Amino acid sequence: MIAVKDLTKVYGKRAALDHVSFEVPEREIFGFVGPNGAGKTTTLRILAALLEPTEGKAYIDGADVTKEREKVHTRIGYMPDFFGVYDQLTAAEYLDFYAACYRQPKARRKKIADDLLELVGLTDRKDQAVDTLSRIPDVQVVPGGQHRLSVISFNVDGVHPHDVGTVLDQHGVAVRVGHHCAQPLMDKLGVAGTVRASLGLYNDKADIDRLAAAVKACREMFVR
Amino acid sequence: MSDAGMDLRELYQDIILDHGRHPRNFHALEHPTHLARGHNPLCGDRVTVYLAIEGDRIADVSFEGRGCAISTAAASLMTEVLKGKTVEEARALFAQFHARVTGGEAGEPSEALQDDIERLEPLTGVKAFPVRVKCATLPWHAFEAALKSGLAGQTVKTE
Repeated sequence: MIAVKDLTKVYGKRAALDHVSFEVPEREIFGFVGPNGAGKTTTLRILAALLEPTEGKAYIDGADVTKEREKVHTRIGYMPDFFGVYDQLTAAEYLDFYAACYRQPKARRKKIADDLLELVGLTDRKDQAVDTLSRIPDVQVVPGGQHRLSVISFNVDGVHPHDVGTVLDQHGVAVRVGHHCAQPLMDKLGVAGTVRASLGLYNDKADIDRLAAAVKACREMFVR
Repeated sequence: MSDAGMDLRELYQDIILDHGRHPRNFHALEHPTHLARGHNPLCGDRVTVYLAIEGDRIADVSFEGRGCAISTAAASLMTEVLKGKTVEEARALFAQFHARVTGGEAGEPSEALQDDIERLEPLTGVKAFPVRVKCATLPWHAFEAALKSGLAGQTVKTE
């Protein structure tokens, strides 16, 4: 359980938290809401033992967040929006890194990562999309793109990205096309632009198949 | 054919695909009397239109540049219909074409322009694709700018 007693945090002269107290029993799903500046993030960072309170106490399963930080860290999962997201890492590298932070032995880390990717349905998602697209003749997947989890850049030889975009759009597939506000770079690379497909947690294999089918239709129309 | 296929064939008719792949009059003129560049910074399309005007007649017209299939085909077809026209006829033709791709009004076209309007008809498929209308009109805007600027080589931007 979580227990917060008279928690106070002062930044300079301003009190971000002023004697906050609450308890969350085990197995409860607790929504912690409030307007911007109410002190939600400050409270969460103290609970995650990332920030020292000015006054007051907080416990995670009985562990004092100021005195037993390592114990607290092993007990919690914290998913912030973007804080601590390393966008240069692949999904597998990311999970491996954090598993290592939790002192998981190397031999076990891969299994943990695989299981978690399976749990959220991301197993091989990225590789799958890149593989599927690369296998279509005349389609060039921009190298290096493979190392980013969520975006694949590609071109269809001899077809302007805008024409690719229109065809894909008509097939119900939304992508971003053009120079992506990097015209000088595109000029340097000698291309008119690129097609960018983004994948999120909400996409599944059927979406990738649709993207591939639409790209094939585009190729048939323009290249043949 | 799926709905997507039908709409797309309206936009990418064979004549568009053909002119997009093999643009006509795709080169610089050696002795132009007028030229201008068209540039759409949003999509990156660039076109340079060259004119050789003798008296009030367009003796020769050509273009260079890079763009999508629509803008390339539009420029190619434009050079075909403009060759031999008087400047006045050419302006009237642009007005008619512009109205047809944007859904605007340009009044009744003269009998003499009917064949050329028909020739440009395949491009009016962009009407159903608002973001692509600029692709079809960019070379015409460059043509109009060339008429105004002579050899000064004005750049007209559309977005």
